[in-house]
Amino acid sequence: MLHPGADVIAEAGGLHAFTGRREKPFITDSGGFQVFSLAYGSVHDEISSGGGSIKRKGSMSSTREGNKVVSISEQGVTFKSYRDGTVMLLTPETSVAAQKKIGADIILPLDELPPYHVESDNILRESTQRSHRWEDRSLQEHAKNPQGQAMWGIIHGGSDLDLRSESVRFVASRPFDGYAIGGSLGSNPSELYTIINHVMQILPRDKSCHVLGIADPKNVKALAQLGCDTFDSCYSTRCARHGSMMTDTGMIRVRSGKYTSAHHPLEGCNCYTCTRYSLSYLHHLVKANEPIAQTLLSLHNISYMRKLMDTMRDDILQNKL
Amino acid sequence: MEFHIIHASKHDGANNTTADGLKKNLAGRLGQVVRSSQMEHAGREQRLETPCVMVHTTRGCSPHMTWDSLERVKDACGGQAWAVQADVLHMSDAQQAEVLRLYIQEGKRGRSFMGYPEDAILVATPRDPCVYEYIGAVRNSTDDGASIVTMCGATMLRPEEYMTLAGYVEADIIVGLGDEVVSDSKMSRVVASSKRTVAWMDRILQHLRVQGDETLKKRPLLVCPIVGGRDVKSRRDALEHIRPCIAASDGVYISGLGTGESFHERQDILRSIIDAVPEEKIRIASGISHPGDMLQAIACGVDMFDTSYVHMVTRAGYALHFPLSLHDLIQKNAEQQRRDDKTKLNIWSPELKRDASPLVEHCPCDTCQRHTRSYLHHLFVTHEMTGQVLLEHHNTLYIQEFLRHVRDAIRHDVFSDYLDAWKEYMMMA
Repeated sequence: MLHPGADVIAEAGGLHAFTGRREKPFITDSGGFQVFSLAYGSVHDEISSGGGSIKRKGSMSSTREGNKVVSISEQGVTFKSYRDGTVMLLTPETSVAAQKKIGADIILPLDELPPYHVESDNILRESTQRSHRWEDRSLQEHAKNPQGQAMWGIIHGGSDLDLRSESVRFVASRPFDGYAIGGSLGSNPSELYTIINHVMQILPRDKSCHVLGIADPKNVKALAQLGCDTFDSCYSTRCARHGSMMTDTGMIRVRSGKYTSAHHPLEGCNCYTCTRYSLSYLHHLVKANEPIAQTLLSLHNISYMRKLMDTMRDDILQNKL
Repeated sequence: MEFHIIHASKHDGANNTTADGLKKNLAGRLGQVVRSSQMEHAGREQRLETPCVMVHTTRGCSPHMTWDSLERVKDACGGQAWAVQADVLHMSDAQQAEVLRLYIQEGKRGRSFMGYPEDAILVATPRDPCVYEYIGAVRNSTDDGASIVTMCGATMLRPEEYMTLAGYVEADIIVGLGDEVVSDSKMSRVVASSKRTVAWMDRILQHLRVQGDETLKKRPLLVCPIVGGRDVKSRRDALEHIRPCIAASDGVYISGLGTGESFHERQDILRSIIDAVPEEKIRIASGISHPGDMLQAIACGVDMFDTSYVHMVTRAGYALHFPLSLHDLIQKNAEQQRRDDKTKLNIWSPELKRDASPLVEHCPCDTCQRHTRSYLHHLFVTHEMTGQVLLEHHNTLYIQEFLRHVRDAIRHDVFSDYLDAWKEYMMMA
């Protein structure tokens, strides 16, 4: 929405034509996560710190400096564009309208994200209920012109299992085309598993279920076994940008000095990177801050995740999972 | 390795010598670098036509493109063998050199460590065309070796060490280590640099003799660096000193260009050097970037270019965009007439925000076939790395295509027409 703008993408023929990836399916987020991240979370920290110390996450009192969110109301979120300071209003209707113009295959309703570490149950409950009201409005906007797009309902409730149950009932009762599990998913893998397990026990299985913001190998394996179908995250490429490679025995930090003389490729991988380069060479590129290192490690990590998903699907077909 | 001249452009005029003895109306020539299958690890024979431009690499890779992407560039240019530049100084910090040595000690090939493709004609050079490694060092160069700045700080690099590192990656063409100076260096410094370069080249030649007597086909080409500032007389004086080294080498590498000299000064420098070099020797020039400057250099007789042009224009957010064929140069379409910048398109320009056309119409590169100016503009404005990857793909192919058209013009004896059409295109209001 901020750049280049939904209108520009619509003029170009939609997201597929604009990006030149006509054969790939696209999913767009509502902009909610990004907007609320301006108020608190990593994006806010980045903007407000300006290279200095990072402020505590989730602390509303520390949001004054660099806070781009002007107000949050029942209508929507008023915020300032970080590009040029223009005041913008994001509502369920404008979010869905923008996603319609952009033309993704799957779109998401606008939801509210409270800070990750909320201590008051009341805040979480009110936020969850507001999300439900916003999702209703989003669905109504979508229903005016479905355009062949699918809209997934988002299940909220934070770490409160009762709220999660309430949210499942809400989403299941609406004519969404699929489900997505969002919001705060706990502060550690154990909490994440508890929340997802609880949701999947009561969620109808007639539609696909997506997990928002989780896509590391360990959690993907665990959550797929609970019945989750799709995942999204920048994890694989972000790890690559920071010099780490995914392996079956965990993440390896190629930047580490122990790979200086590792004159062999990563074993057991036949991706583009591992069939051409040794770990010592990749270490060298990462230490030298060569941009191609990010490309090569990303190629490996994405390839690794694809193979992981292929293997899991095969295992499911063979009743091994 | 061998270098042959295939065809020299015909140029008119019976009197082709200026008053001070320079040949005038020099014209381009078509050459061929051949890597024989007799060379160790060579694989099948590779032939590279010149004039050509090397693919710039840092530490074994193009800055933004993987080798499979570059293969597509090569295919789009008619699949000719390609020249790849490798800066020896990138391998010269102590840790990296030791890692390479140990790698080779394990029986593996240095070339595969760095990932250079087998079919590339690898040219080992003594500097990164993007970065001037000779400035900023704590100590000055001495007769013992060059003082350079590496990733791990300043270090001294001796000519023998330089040659060893070039050998590690099995370079096909090795440019000797020269004491580089910039164009506005003091005369005393220029004189000292040329004498020192002679001393270093003597040691390099001695190092090669110690290595063993290989026939030309089995050993890499050795190219003699011609250093100096922008004073033509000092360049000619330096040539006299280094003449024996040139005689013992397979070509010359004209350095110190692109460091502040004017267009005409560069022409004088190139002509004065090339005029004094036997015709059968290959001529490589560094620091020449702009396509018009390349044409000037080709007209003077340069065979190969070591340049960071593609990387620098990509980094700045420009797409190379100028007519390639003689026909298109003459045609002059309406868009070209409108543009202030006759060779590049500014991806950052807000005018591109809604422009659904490719970077260059009919360009066969993947970027132009799949993406629009609007999308590239968006990627750059939002600082997405994919923008640089896509743009570098286009620019790499474009400069290679440019040289292909120049070679065709030489082949068909219309190079002077090409030059004239280019000048007219650049002057177009």
